[in-house]
Amino acid sequence: MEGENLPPASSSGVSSASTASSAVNASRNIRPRLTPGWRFGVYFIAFAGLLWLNVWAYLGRFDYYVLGIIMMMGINTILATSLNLINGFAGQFAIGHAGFMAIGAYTAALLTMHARVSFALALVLGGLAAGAVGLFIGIPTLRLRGDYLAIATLGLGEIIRVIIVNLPITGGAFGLSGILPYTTFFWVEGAVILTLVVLSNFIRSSHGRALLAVREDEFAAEAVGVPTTYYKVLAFVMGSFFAGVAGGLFAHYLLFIDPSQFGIIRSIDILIMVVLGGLGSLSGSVVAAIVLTALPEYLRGFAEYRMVAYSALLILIMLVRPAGLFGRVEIWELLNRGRPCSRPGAGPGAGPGPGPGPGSTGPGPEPRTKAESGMKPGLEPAGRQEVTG
Amino acid sequence: MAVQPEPPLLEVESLTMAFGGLVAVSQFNLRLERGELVALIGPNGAGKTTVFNCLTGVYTPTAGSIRLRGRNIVGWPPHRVARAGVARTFQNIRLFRDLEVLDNVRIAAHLRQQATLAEAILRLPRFRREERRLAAEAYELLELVGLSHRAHQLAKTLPYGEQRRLEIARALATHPVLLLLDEPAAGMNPQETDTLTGLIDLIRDRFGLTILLIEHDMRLVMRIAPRILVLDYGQTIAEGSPEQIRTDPRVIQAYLGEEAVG
Ligand SMILES: Nc1ncnc2c1ncn2[C@@H]1O[C@H](COP(=O)(O)OP(=O)(O)OP(=O)(O)O)[C@@H](O)[C@H]1O
Ligand SMILES: [Mg+2]
Repeated sequence: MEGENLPPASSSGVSSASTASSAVNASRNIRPRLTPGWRFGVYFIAFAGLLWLNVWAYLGRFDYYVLGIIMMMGINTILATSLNLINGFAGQFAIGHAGFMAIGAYTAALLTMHARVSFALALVLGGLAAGAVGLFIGIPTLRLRGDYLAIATLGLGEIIRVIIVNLPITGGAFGLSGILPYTTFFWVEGAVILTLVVLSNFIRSSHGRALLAVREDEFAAEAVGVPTTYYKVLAFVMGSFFAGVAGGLFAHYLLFIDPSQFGIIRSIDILIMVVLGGLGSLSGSVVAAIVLTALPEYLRGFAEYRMVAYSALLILIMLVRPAGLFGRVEIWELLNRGRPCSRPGAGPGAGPGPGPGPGSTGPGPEPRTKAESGMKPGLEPAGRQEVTG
Repeated sequence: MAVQPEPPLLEVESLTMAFGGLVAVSQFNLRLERGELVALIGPNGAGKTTVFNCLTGVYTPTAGSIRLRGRNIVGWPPHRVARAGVARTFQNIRLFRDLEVLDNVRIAAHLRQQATLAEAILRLPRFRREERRLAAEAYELLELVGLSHRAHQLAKTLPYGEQRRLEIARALATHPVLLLLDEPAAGMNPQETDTLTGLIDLIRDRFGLTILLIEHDMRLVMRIAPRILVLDYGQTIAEGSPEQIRTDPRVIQAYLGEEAVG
């Protein structure tokens, strides 16, 4: 069995844990579906909550501060879910999401300020600008295996900062002020819904499954005809696009932007939302974005310790639930009577459900977590790349 | 129009693959007619898997040509080779372990998908139709390999033998003309091997497949392969019917030598 000439799959080896008893456990291994009662409950609560939010926002009942937090929750939701597309679903480790946000923010702001472009168009153009830069970076780096993308995206943030500081039109390091206050609750809400619909429809299609295949095993994906580079670039460009849109919303909400707002700290903030929520779980990203936007506001007094707290939180999560809060599972899958045990990869000891019988799969022998698979695509430069150049 | 003689399905000429100083495959020739089943055997490290990797575009050969239905596919990336009709299984099972069994197969049907990304995002009729069709096809293939009851399990939870069959179903979902099986019976007990033998016969009939099979299980090879090729240290040392191979002194030497060494 040794001597296969390919680098090991991201999780190598054959599940030795699978035995005859897995037939017994077959029913448990089936992916949970939300029971009708639960589904109704979840939809009802979500719908009622949204309705309330909308009515309140419409009537102007939120005070300015609270409304601001709600809008930031939405903007962060877009940022986190779009980064999750790259890191969680496509399994490519990008870390400079704030850079793309900056491109969208400056592009959209300058367009509405100086070119009298409508807000909607400015948001789209901001997204397209970010997507174009994503394409430019993605094509060379994503063809290679390994962590080149992480390095490139990290460098990108710095490059963008330098460009912004030196361009005459951006206000340089002093920042850009006088941006028009276009961003409202409803703009954010619309953008969030659009983002979620696009991303989840993408993921739940054969194109999205191709993306998952790339994450799982690039060689196997290629072998069944998936053009892996194409899909990696596609995910990266789409993620960049939505980050750009989020940047445009951000600029027209804050009305003043400067390069320091799009630094490494913000990139890490977004990354933490993705990791906490679970790489590969859109709903996890939404929840994490909401919680991690609200939390610092409640903990204002500890602002200086935020990064310390985040680091501690991250370490804790890594220890307790390495796959993130929700693993790669969507929330409604967890809601099924608290029995997420069907997906052993979701997290070690996932769920209090009836423990899998002896010798069954349970939390696999090496519960490959989303986090690991996201951070380490685990593939060495392939022979083909070297040979064909 | 003059009737052209149909080129062989696969024609490999003087295929050589060197890794630095190590020549893993040397001057390998192979001609496969449509519908043939040929076995590739040889001791460990003989270069069998390397041949597969060259055929599927994972490696670009150092020298030689590979023609699939007359077209030279050397230098094509693997996904393009797959789209041209070459599917494979892996010696070390490489499933999409954390995805459902059904999705493992559906992903492989991806290359026949017509609906664009925009259609998928907008959930347009053609996309929905296609999704239904691909899912139905995938179920059918799972049924064929006896795994339909596992459809919604994660691939990694399957027992070993079933994982191997799932790999075959996944390969079939690409609608190949040429199927490359790399030690499909490895690690199987005799009963599982029998099931597998039946399955290989079945899919060959059903899909009119041409199959190139690497296998160490001689019983299996002798039973289903009318023609056998033997590799040793990258060289083709024998080619012929099971009877010829069984009695070929060089083959016996190669295998005995291996046993003597360990
Ligand atoms: N990418 C590579 N780089 C260097 N050497 C390689 C590479 N791939 C294969 N080899 C070498 O080529 C030789 C043939 O390997 P190959 O895997 O093709 O053998 P095999 O016939 O499939 O053996 P087995 O029966 O053990 O699977 C071996 O010596 C192997 O170490
Ligand atoms: Mg081999």
